[in-house]
Formats: sequence, structure tokens, C-alpha cells
Amino acid sequence: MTEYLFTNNAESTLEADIGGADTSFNVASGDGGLFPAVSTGSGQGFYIIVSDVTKSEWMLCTDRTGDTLTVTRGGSNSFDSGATVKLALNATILSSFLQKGVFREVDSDPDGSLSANYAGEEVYQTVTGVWWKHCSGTLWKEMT
Amino acid sequence: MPNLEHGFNDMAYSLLFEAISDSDTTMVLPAGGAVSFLPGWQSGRTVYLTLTNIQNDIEIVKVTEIHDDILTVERGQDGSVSKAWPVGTIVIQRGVAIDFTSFIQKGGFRSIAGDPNGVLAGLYPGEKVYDTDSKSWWINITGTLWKCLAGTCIPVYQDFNPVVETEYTLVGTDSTWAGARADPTATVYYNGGEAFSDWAIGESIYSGTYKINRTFMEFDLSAISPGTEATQATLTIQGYVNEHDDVVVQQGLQSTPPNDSEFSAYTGDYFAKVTWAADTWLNPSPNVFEFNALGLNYLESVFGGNAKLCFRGYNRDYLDSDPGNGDNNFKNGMYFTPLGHPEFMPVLRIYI
Repeated sequence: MTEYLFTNNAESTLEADIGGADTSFNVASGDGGLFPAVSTGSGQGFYIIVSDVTKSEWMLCTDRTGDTLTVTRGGSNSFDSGATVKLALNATILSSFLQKGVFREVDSDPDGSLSANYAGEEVYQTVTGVWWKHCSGTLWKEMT
Repeated sequence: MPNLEHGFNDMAYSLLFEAISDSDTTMVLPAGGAVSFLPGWQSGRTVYLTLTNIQNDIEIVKVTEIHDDILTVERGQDGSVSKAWPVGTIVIQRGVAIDFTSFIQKGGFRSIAGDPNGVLAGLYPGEKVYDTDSKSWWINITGTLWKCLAGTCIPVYQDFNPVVETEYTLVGTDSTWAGARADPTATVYYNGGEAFSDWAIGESIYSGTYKINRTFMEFDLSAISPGTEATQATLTIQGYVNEHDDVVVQQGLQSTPPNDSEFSAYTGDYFAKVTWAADTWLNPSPNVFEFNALGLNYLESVFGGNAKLCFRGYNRDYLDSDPGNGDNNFKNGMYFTPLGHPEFMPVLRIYI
């Protein structure tokens, strides 16, 4: 899963036109530093929304080097130079946060059978009153 | 000590009643203006406010105290810069980067290969890290103090020496490479009870005759109950004199002890591979085979019984690569059962 990064007031514009399939572009010269530092393969990223007066598109940025952002596109819109590029919250990010008191309950030992919703998930076995923590695959370990 | 919880309030909005400089640490609000902040601010909570104006200038401040309509704050927080603000400046609570960074994200955790206790500094009290070696979880108490949360954090292992009577090196001989690899009437080059061999594993060709040496051994694992999970296994063999090749270990199918016709009594892909190291008599050079998942599965399958292993040269014998016509040898020697030096014996270490 991606670890989402945040900075305040990260807003810029496209340096040049982009097509619907472009996955790399520049923001206005010198504005790259407004956005989080992230590199390919780090498992980190941040969402931006690119918009003009008629359309907008979410993109996940997985690499930023200077003013150049590498993204996974959420759509295939074309944007002209000057379109707004803004780091923003979305449902994916908010859904990635753990919420107090929210967990799955299972009747039986999950080890060897239950697939985790995410790595490191914690589930409660109601019958035995035991908490389990996910390791990998269907491997779970009892919490002491 | 736990971190302070970040507090939020949808209705947190007011205006500066008095102008502030870039260094003031108190902000005066209109009468009753602090009320909107009170539900979200409690002692022991962290609240960040944003000062802004119609030009969208921004400063983020951290509230440390609210007394009547006076907020005590720390200026220029979360990457913003403190500046002077006039009367009427908007004071509002927005979610800022430091708030969102404080949340734990699903699947977001650090991994470490080994015990973090005393080594790894926690990013925050209560942080949970995953130990990939022991497949267990640790929870941070404070600083570099960690306690086991789930799993067997400190691996338990057992050591096993091979059953001496099962240690055999068989040598296949033929005028062709293929014939030597499949020799049905191999001869014994070494058998249990001898101290060492300068050619336990490997290949040679000399005057048109190929010779291939393979070593077999067996470990009694009856002390480990069937069904036990193995998290890691290593096999350490001390090299002796010759070091000419990479060596692999794989599952053996030999009898107990092996007989001459079982030169090819092995099966499957290799469990581990090492580049052989050796030295002179009584100067051991450890060769450590780290078992892969296939090897661990095999060991688990024979818990309660015996594990049979076969050692072969990798680059020629295992890969079936003819070393050619010229005189050559690729020999690898090992200690078996050196009398008076039991510490040189092969050791299979199984973590359970």
C-alpha cells in the first residue's frame, strides 16, 4: 500500500500542455518544492488534482524530482499549460486511515486461512477473546 | 509518554481582535470568539489553527492554552512562516499536513530484519514494527525499548549434527560426462567415521576420465514434533583444503546408510547454494547454507523423523555442464567427524 505524504499549500500550474496518456510533467519552475519529496520504489506518494475550468483529474504522484512529477493517471484528460496542480485529500486517503475501534471479528483461528485487508491488520477472535496480527499472506500471529 | 492527540472542531472560526506582530505568542479574539475553539481544545490535545486572509496568505500556529478569549500559540508551524497580521485576520481550523501525517495508515509500518530492542529508535510510543526474520511484531515502549507483541520474537532454535554413520561421499566415474553423472555403480570415496575429505563435492577430468563426487548425510530430527513451523534453517559446514566451486544442497533419497548404487539419490531444486570456502587442517572456514522456502518446507515435512540431504557441485554437476576435455578439477573439501574436534562437524540449525 502507498504511504500518503502531505504538505500544506502545495499548489502550482502545469508548465506545458499534457496529453491524456502522459505520466510525467513539470509544474511551474521552482514550485516542485511545494510538494512532498518522493521517489520511485519508496512505497510513498501523494495525490494531486489537476483542473481547468471544464474538467479535473486525480493523479497519484509516485516520484518528484525537482519540478518534475511522475504520476499514475486517474483518467485520460488533456490539459493546457497553466492548469492548476494541487495536492489534495480524497476518499482514498481518508479511507487509508485506521479508525478507533474499527476492526474485523472472526469466529475461528485466522492463521492459514484468512486473507488480510491490508498488511499488519489486527482482527479479534470472538470465541477465544484473542487478538491476531497479520504478518504476510494468510500468516497471522497471536498478540500477547 | 504518549503523544498528544490532535483535536478537531468543525466550528472553529474567528477573527483577530487585535493585530499581532510576527513574534507575539498570544492572540486576542472578539468577546466570545474563543468559544468556537473550546470544544476541540482540551488540555492534552494538539490543535493547529490557520491564520489567513483574502490574498490566501497562510500561517499555521499551534494552540498551547486558551484563557477566556486569548489564545496562547506557537508561531510559524508545519512549514509556515510567522508574520504580522492585522485586526480582522481570519483564524480558522483546517486540517494541515502535520495532522494528517499523525494518522496511522493501513498497511503503513516499518520492517526490520532482526530484534529491534536496544537498536531501533521508535518513531512514536506504541509504534509497531514487523521483524521479517522471526515473522513477529514488536511494539515500542519508549526510545529503543521494544517488547514482543505477536509471534515468537526471539527465535528458538535447535542444533543437529549429522548421524555419523550416514555421512557418505560417492564418486561416479566414466569416460563420458553423462556416464559419470549417472554412474549406477559408484564407489565410496568417504564413509562415516573418517575425519575429513579433501574432495567431498565436485568434479574432475583427468586423462579422459570424469569423476564426480557427491556427499550425502542424514540428520535425526525426531526431537522436533511434526507440525512445528520452521521460520529459518541454516546448515554450516567447515571447508577443508579445496575450494573450487559453488555447492548446493538438495533433498536426498538415499538409504540409511547410502549404498553404492544411490549415486543419483536426490530430487528437486536446491535448498541453498554457497560459494565454497576452505582452509588448512584445523583452520575451519564455515560455509553457511541458508535454506529457502522449499528447504524449510522439506524440513517441516520430516520433523519427527530424519532429514536426508545431498550436496553437489553447482556450476557443472547440478547444471549439467561438461567441464571439457582438458585435465581439470573442481574439488571442495569438508570436515565430517573430526575426532577430538566435534566443533568442526556439520551443524543444522533450525529456528522454530
